[in-house]
Amino acid sequence: MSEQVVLLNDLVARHQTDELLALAMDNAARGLSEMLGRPITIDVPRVQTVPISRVTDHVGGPETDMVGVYLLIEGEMPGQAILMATLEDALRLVDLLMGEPEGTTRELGDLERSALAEAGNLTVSFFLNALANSIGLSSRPSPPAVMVDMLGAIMGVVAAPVAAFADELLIVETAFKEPHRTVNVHFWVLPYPVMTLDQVALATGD
Amino acid sequence: MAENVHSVSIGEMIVSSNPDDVLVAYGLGSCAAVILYDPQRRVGGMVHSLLPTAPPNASLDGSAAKFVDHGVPMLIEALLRQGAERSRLVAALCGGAQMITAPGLPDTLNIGSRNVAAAEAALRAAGISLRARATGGNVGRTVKLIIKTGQMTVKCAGQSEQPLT
Repeated sequence: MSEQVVLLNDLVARHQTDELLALAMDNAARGLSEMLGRPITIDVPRVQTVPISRVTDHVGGPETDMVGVYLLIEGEMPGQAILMATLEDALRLVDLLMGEPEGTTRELGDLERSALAEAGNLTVSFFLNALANSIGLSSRPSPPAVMVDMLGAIMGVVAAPVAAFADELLIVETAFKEPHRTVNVHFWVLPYPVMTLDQVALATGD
Repeated sequence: MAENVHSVSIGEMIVSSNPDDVLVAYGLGSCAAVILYDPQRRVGGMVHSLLPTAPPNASLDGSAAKFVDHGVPMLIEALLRQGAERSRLVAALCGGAQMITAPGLPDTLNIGSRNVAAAEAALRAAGISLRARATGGNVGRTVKLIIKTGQMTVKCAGQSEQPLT
């Protein structure tokens, strides 16, 4: 595994893939702010490798009530993507999406979940479109799944597809913030390391 | 009385005979935690696995506990080395929820029930019967083992802590 990560980092450095990912993250933020109808700010995206056993600590306490909108990415850059917020922030995000005053949404029913699912779908689609436009990597998201549970339980879902082959997760991460209502949303894209290497090499003619 | 709480993270195994120790696996979703305890020797352990079986060519260096089919035998071995008797071991199983239910996502993501089945098979193969369980459904769980007494508790998301039976 570590050899693969080193190789990937090498490719990232040589081909300025980090700038590319920053551009794609920026586009994802643009997609979400268009949906919300108000500007959101975005943290500087980071590419990180995190040991699977530590991935929960990476976000917060393992029993924290969280909401995750999870999508698989299929195509030339296979992997996973997840939009995550604490339950409180997710309720605020629903208020924003529905154009309601803060504090209106108190629980996540079908309507609220589908609003969150749509936000996840749109964010990931904007991310993937930016990649497609820049380097021609064509990928598409699966239908979104909304999970409301302990952070540890959600992290298990994210770690499972990679765990058979790796002890670390490769995460492209950022946070979106809606400044007026301070809604914080984590956005992660997790390319499958081995396949991504091949695909990046193919796309860049290595 | 001082309590040393040890978090058993994803892909980890902890064994202890220290009466002050409490082993906890926080936020189990589709993951499975297997707990074994010898009430006479007062030694116990917990393994927190992510996947039912290791792929044929997986490197298991330091990460065998990720896989139920390797983690359970490893836990049994570790307990026997600490003086536990196989015939006295009490087993409990927790987790294996189905976390993702969206239409259009592949069944391969539904690993919760496969983790539970793998744990049951591994315990059966070792001749150890299950005494307590909290498995399946679609809810996250935290499970705890108190080494001093062998008591086990489970806490579901949004609920209070209950004895694991």
